Amino acid sequence: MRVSIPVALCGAVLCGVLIAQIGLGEDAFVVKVQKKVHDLQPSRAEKRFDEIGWAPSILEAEKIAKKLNRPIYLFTYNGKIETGRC
Amino acid sequence: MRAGPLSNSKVIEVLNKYYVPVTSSNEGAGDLGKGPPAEKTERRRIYDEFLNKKLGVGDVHVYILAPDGRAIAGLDIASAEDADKEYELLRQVVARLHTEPGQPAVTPRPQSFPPAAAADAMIFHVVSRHLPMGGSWNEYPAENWIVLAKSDWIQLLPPKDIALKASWDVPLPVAVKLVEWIYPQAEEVELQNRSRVDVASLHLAVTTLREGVGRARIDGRVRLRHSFYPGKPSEDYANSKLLGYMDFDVTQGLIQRLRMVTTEATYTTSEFATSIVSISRETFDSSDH
Repeated sequence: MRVSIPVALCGAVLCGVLIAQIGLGEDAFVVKVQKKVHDLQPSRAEKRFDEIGWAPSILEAEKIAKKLNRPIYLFTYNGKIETGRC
Repeated sequence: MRAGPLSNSKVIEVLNKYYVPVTSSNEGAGDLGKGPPAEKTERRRIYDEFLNKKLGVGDVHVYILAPDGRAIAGLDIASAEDADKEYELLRQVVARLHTEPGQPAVTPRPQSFPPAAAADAMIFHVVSRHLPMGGSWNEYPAENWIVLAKSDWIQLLPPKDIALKASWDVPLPVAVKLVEWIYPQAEEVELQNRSRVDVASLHLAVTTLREGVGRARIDGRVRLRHSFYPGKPSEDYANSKLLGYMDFDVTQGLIQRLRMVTTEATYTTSEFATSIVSISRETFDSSDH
């Protein structure tokens, strides 16, 4: 099963808190770091772009479009829209 | 666009039901891009056809193609950023083509995912936000993926005979790799980092040590110059203080997890916050990459 990294990270962060409490002791700075990590992760609202089924390339989109008889929506842009480094 | 129409429920629904959506970066498939030649050639064909048909063109633009690849409609970026205008055009096109609705042509999946990496590499996820969020360049956080080869991450570990309260500093080249993305969203067009790191100090001190498993607190400081726009050098600095921890297994020579956050961070005159989190092998293997 494929999971999104933010979802997996939330799980990992919660798991980390548990480990912190059970294995290596409950350090105040660990709890502080975990909470801030959690708060900074992209929210579902900020990731709605991922709800769209993007084709991996123009050429691949054209193949799929012919097969499904659907039009193509092509958005051209600068930078890296998927990571926000754009 | 990402925070506007491409996060709008109506637009998302019509794209998934009736279209084959695709994005294309100018740095990849534009004329001067570094992408596959065949992709660049096809994008140039599309551009030329829209130009010849006087349907409008632009570097940042929406092009609508018929199922056979013909140019049929477009939206300049100003119009495309209006979710209602974009939705109306998308609806008009499918009504004209009598397109049948269906499931998404491609299964939606996270678009930011870790790169492929060697089995013994460590991968870190970086999230960086302006504070407070909102407004241009500030609508969603920036993300990066850092891959550290084993020869790098092993330098984060203490010696095997480490004792409680012992401390050490991460060698500068490895510290730079971990902190060079600590700045908020700015204009980027390359995958390579273009920051000039002036200070990258990561100091670790053992707070817990039990049967070969330990935890070190991380205190750090970073100063880097990162001009907001590439190609327009300016004295824009990101200054940060870091707090974090690393859990490690001394006996096996492994890092179990590493987390770091900024406790104070400014870029020019504004505040921001960044987190850096190691990704477990299990999480990496279960994600797209």
